[in-house]
Amino acid sequence: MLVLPAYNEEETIVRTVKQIRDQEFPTGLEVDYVVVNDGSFDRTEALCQENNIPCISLVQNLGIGGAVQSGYLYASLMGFDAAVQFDGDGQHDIRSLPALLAPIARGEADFTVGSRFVEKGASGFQSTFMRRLGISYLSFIIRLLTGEQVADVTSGYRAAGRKALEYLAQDYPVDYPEPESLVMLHKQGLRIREIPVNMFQREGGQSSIHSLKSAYYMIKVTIAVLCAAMRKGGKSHGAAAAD
Amino acid sequence: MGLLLRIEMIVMAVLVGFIIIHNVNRKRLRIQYSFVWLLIALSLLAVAFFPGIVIWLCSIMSIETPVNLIYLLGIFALLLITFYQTLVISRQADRITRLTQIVSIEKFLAEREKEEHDSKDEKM
Repeated sequence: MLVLPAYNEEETIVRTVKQIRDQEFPTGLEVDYVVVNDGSFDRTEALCQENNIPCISLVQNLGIGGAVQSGYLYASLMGFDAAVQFDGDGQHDIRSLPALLAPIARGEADFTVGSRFVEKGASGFQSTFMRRLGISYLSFIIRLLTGEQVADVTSGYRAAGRKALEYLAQDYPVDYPEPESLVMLHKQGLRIREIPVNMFQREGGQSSIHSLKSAYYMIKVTIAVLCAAMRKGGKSHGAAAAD
Repeated sequence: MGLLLRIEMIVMAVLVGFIIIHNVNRKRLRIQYSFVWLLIALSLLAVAFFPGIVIWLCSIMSIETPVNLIYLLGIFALLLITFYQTLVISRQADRITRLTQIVSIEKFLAEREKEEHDSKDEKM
């Protein structure tokens, strides 16, 4: 199950889905996909309808965390074996999907992170210097807190096995969720693995991380990661909301 | 503590009590959230009628004028209420998120089912 969170991605969404449709996967790997349209005000939804792309349109904007979680929730409800987060803006290379899923299929990992940094992908794209600096700082903090060695902690190209997706459907961070969710998964005792994948320069749309907001982003994620690290593992927090 | 201050506090307390009861009756305020405000009004009344309580508390806390203690307690009460409200807001935000997700997914599933149904009809 590929989950494509999309917020105003009219320029790229159709092309991204076409790449998924055209891609031939090894036998035994059945791939379904759904776009989660997070209250876009451009033509994302109309384009999905015209092109017969399955699209969950959120009735109001939830932000990236809420949108991605909708995908996990959907995958959980429909009984998929794995859910893969795949950006609608054409950054992620669908050809890397089998590699990303392999450790989960073999039962060696519950969650895999597609990384730009483990080794250079075919396109050699590795992001700007400032961004790399921020990412290595977050990576360092996460390693300090969990011992989990993940270089590309902000990667949005991630695959969750059954256990991880069930958990994430119940409990997922709200904004800038990628680094924080790694700590949460670690706390649940789930096995995380980083896999080298290929990524492209974004073709259109905007990153959820703007340069102006990056300072706020760093502080917020640091706090979030610290909080998550101090939280008791085991029991799902989602149960508290049902009191 | 001056007489004027005591009268002011009584007026305040009555006003707060009136506003709270009015809003509860108009269904604009839930009873569970009215308690804390009524409690504040009651404590204002208590202090106005029995200033001895505050004067005694001041002496054991070595605060010079009773009115300062009233301010202090007022600020603490407001901080507590605000904090409690941020808790409520966060919980509600979580619930709204979950509701949005479920409604959206259900809507998607319903539409898909309808489409499948329609295409079956066309074939027949």
